[in-house]
Amino acid sequence: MIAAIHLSGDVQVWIGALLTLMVFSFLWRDNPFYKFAEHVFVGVSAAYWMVMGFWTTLWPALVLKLFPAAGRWSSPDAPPGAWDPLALIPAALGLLMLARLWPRLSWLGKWPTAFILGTTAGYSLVRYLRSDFLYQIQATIGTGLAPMAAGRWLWQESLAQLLVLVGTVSGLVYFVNTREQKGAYGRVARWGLLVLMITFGASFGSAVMGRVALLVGRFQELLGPWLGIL
Amino acid sequence: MNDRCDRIASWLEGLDRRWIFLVLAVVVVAALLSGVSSPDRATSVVQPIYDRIENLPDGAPILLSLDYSPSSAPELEPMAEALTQHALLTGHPICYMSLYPTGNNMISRVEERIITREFPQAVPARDWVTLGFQVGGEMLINSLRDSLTARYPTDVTGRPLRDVPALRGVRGLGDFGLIVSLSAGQPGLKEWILYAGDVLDVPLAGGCTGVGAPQFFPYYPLQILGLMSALKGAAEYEAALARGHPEFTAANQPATRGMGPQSAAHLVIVAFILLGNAGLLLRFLARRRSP
Repeated sequence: MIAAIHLSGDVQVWIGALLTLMVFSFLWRDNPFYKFAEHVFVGVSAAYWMVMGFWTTLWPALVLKLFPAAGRWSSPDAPPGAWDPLALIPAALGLLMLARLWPRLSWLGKWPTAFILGTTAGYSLVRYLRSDFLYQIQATIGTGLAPMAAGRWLWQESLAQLLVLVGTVSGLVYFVNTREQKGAYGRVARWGLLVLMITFGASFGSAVMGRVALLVGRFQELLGPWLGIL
Repeated sequence: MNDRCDRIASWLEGLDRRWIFLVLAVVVVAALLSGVSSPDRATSVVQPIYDRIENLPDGAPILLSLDYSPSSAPELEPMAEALTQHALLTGHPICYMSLYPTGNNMISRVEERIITREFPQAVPARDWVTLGFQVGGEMLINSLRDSLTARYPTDVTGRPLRDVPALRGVRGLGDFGLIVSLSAGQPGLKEWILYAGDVLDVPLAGGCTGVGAPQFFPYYPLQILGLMSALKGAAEYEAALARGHPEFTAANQPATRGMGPQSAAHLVIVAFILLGNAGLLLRFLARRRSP
């Protein structure tokens, strides 16, 4: 039973609903309403991220550490923190990054970039090696091809384990390009290709599922808070 | 016969895609208005998250990291709501935080929609605490491993963490009974696995968007104890919650309600895929029969 339409009196709901309809209008064809929504989205996003970046990053992590007294403007009741000279390092690196705006000084921008890349690579190497390499090998081998529980052979787990192992090995074989893929070796590679195609298909299906969920979410907002018929 | 096959194939090939959009929209709206829902049950990937919360020691806190923005909320917010209800129904304090700058707004929505409306008796700082967003991503997780107060001296209301009963006995991430990251991208579940789960051996579970699901399934079950994938995963969790806690069945179940339209939309997509392939087949047959 569909209830009567009860339009929302909330301005925010109206803005959200109208912008949603403007974006949907692109499905018909490109038009000024879509262009308007697109420009509003880009402008608002840029402004939002800039303000968020300032108040959640620059202000607490840099300004308040170099100028603790400035805290009385943002948090009058909070006790002022201590001056932190270490904050001068990110401040200097940040200023060097801005040097890229001037062609003659742009080379200075390579220093903060190198710092970020170097520290991130060095720090992440061990983590990725363990989580994405060693543990994944362990997960592929798993409990072995004949897992048992209470003296009983778990054939379903065994089959799943076999599929994972065969899929992984044949997928790797497909990417070995130093040997011609023919004969038995070629058949393994073709099986690997099949596994890859199934994987890509599953990924695509999952992505479609996610997009449909977003569509349902927008319609729920339109029919619920805006029109009041849900 | 050949002409007929050719005509049908040409018609299918020339079908304006806007008809597909229109049919999809009509089907989704009709499914939403009719209130049709798709019956679900928790699969072996989702059930362990539910079981973990059910079997936590009394009063063990749960860390819920809402690592998403409004664009992913339709998929991930139902998970946050179901987990919040489950935690409050079983008496486990929830600690909200976020790696996303928009996280504070996402947390506020869950607080308003679930805690304020469904659990008016819940007491702030005792039943839940909001740490909010802090910049840093994986570095933030890294520094929270040993001490929450290193980066969160207070909660979002300015209350020092030592005065928060919900976090009594919690020094670092390893002291939580369960950590759940609802993740739309980076930083998110991946960083939680790399910098917390695999380092501390703390029980870690996740929820992710449909697009991100293939990236996270390889981590189950060795590195994460469970994974909720998109609206389907949330609906499965709601199903487990409704089965274990009958009082929940009366509550709002957005994912279960969303699965009806979602399934209908999938059927439409499958139908159009079959139709498109039928067109190709007819074209093939027409060419084969032509002299």
